[in-house]
Amino acid sequence: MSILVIENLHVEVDGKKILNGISLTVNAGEVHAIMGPNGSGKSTLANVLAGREDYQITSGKIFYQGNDLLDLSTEQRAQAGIFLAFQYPVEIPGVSNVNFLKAAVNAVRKGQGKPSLDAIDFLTFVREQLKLVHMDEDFLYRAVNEGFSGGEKKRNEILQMAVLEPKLAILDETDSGLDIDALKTVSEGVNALRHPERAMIVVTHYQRLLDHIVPDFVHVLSDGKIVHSGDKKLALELETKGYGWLEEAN
Amino acid sequence: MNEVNIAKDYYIQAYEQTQSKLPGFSLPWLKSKRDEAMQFFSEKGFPTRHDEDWKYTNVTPLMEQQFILPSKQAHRLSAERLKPYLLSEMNAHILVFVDGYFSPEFSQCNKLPSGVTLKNLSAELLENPKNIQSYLSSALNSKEHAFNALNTALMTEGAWIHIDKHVVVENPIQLLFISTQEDAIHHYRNCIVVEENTSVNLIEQYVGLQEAPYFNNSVTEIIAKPNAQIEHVKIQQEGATSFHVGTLQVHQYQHSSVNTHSFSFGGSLVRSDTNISLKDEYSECTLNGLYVASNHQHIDHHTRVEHIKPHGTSREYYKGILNDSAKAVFNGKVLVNPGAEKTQAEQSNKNLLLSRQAEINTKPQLEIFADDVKCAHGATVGQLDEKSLFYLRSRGIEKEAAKQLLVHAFASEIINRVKWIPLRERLELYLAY
Ligand SMILES: Nc1ncnc2c1ncn2[C@@H]1O[C@H](COP(=O)(O)OP(=O)(O)OP(=O)(O)O)[C@@H](O)[C@H]1O
Ligand SMILES: [Mg+2]
Repeated sequence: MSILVIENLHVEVDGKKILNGISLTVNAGEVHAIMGPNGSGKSTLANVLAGREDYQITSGKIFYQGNDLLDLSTEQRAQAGIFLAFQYPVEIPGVSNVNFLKAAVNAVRKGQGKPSLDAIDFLTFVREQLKLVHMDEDFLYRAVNEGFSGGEKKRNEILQMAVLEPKLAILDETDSGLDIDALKTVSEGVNALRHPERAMIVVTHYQRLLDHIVPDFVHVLSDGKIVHSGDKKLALELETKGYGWLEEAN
Repeated sequence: MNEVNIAKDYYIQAYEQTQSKLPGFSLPWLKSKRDEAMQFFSEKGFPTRHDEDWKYTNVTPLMEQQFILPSKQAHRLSAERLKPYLLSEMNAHILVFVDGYFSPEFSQCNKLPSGVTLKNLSAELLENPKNIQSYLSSALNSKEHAFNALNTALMTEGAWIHIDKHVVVENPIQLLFISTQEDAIHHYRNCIVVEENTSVNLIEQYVGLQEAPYFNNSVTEIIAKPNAQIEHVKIQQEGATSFHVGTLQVHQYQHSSVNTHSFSFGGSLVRSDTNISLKDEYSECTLNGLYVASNHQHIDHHTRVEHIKPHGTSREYYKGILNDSAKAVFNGKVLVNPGAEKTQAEQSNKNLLLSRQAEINTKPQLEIFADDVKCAHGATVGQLDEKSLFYLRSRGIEKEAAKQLLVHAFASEIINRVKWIPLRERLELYLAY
């Protein structure tokens, strides 16, 4: 079954065209990698899927589990199982990570018609997930991402993904800035969530992540278009040849 | 213009008619203070927007109504309605005032440590006026403005607190002023004297249980003797259509330390003055403040810290959260007098506007007449951070809940400076924007 279908998507920001006709189908159980040069529109696509309002969709359609995704607000999308691990997670001073995670988990549960977790059940649950991403419990009591190192922020994104158990996870350069051990931890966290009923879109610049999270498909985005698609071998090819040969071919 | 004169005459007559019933009428020293204040009021009248300190706050709504001075104890307040406001979980010593009168039945002050006097003002004026004579109205400048003058002339009740030398009062003292009567005006006066080497915690709370207009015009004077340590919290939760004008006047002596926190949530027209004089060397103060306003509320905070002697330190952190068509004024003045060398002063005012109609006039001021001082100040006005809002919503949190989280985060910096966790929790609850 298709989890996500994007048809000829065009997106502008402040009158500037950023995505120029993207079509992509992601089925349950699949992992799609999206690669491509800086500024090609990868994060824009990821943010559009999550519902960022300052991007104008000038044409095209997006279906999520068969329904029009564009009808849903950002929070409704999250409640319906879409999760974006941000390339640049924001710091939110004054909101503790634990309160944030609890609010998120219970908002998603509410949206899905499930009862809220009480404080004790939530803590038990979140502690298990912390182990998965090898994070210390201290991180729960710090303000969201405030003063976190680059790698700690990325782990915190994966922690959020783990507690929210999404259907469609979009990881935007979650591997950037990670040391080798952290890369392994994050990949393990991601792989633990792989499931026949879930799908993932992994945005990355590096083949090394795809050694750990093996994709079913690899797409190359350039100038707001998917210029090439292939299987995991494409990523290896890009690693040696760069993007130049694809752009010339187009 | 006419109503200005009518209002003025109204208070002049009220004084003439009621002065014989005011507490301490037979005390010449007090009568002369009252007369002098009234004289100033009758000459000067209410402030107008031509007065620099009232430029953004129009007090005519206060003059359009003839508020009634309390003449007899009439309240019918149930213990049940009062209970949510008593800081029992903090084991506070509590004085309760209802509609201008001291309420012994609701007050809880039988566990006071020795060396602490906690009484209502009118009782002290009757029983031991000598104890209070040199302090009452000694810190306040009644001629600062009409409201201070009226308070001195018409003060009826309030708290008298005296802490003997070397006494540490662990549990906080709560002064709770409840309003249930519409159209009433109250002139509360609190006089607090903290002797050498003492430590005391005070919570001054105004609660309105009345939706119709009334007016509280209160003054609190604090005298902090050498090495006194004072934690003071004012919580203003007046009724939605009420008026509140309040002045906190503090005199600090050598090595004294005063932290005052102001939380302003209620009222339709609110003016709050905090004036601190650092009268001796090595005295320090922190002014912490949070004002939260919505609908058509108008909230004005004026603060003034006067550094008179060397080596004083003052810090000020005020934040405002404004929604709907609310307006707020922040005017913070730090004066460093000639001779106040080695002063350190910092001041900041940050505002969060949650709607396009909300308005803030902020004016931090430094007036420095001494050398070798370290002073910094700044003010900001901003909206909720869109990126943070999107981040929270992308985790499933509803837009309104996400805004609430960010508003509380903004306020938490101020709330978390209050040292009691149970009080912080209460303040979080009061903070519904
Ligand atoms: N709010 C904005 N205003 C103006 N331009 C924008 C805005 N957001 C994105 N862009 C532009 O859109 C283009 C695509 O940006 P995007 O962040 O999607 O690239 P990317 O493929 O994720 O790049 P990277 O690999 O560097 O992360 C860039 O040229 C960027 O400058
Ligand atoms: Mg990007």
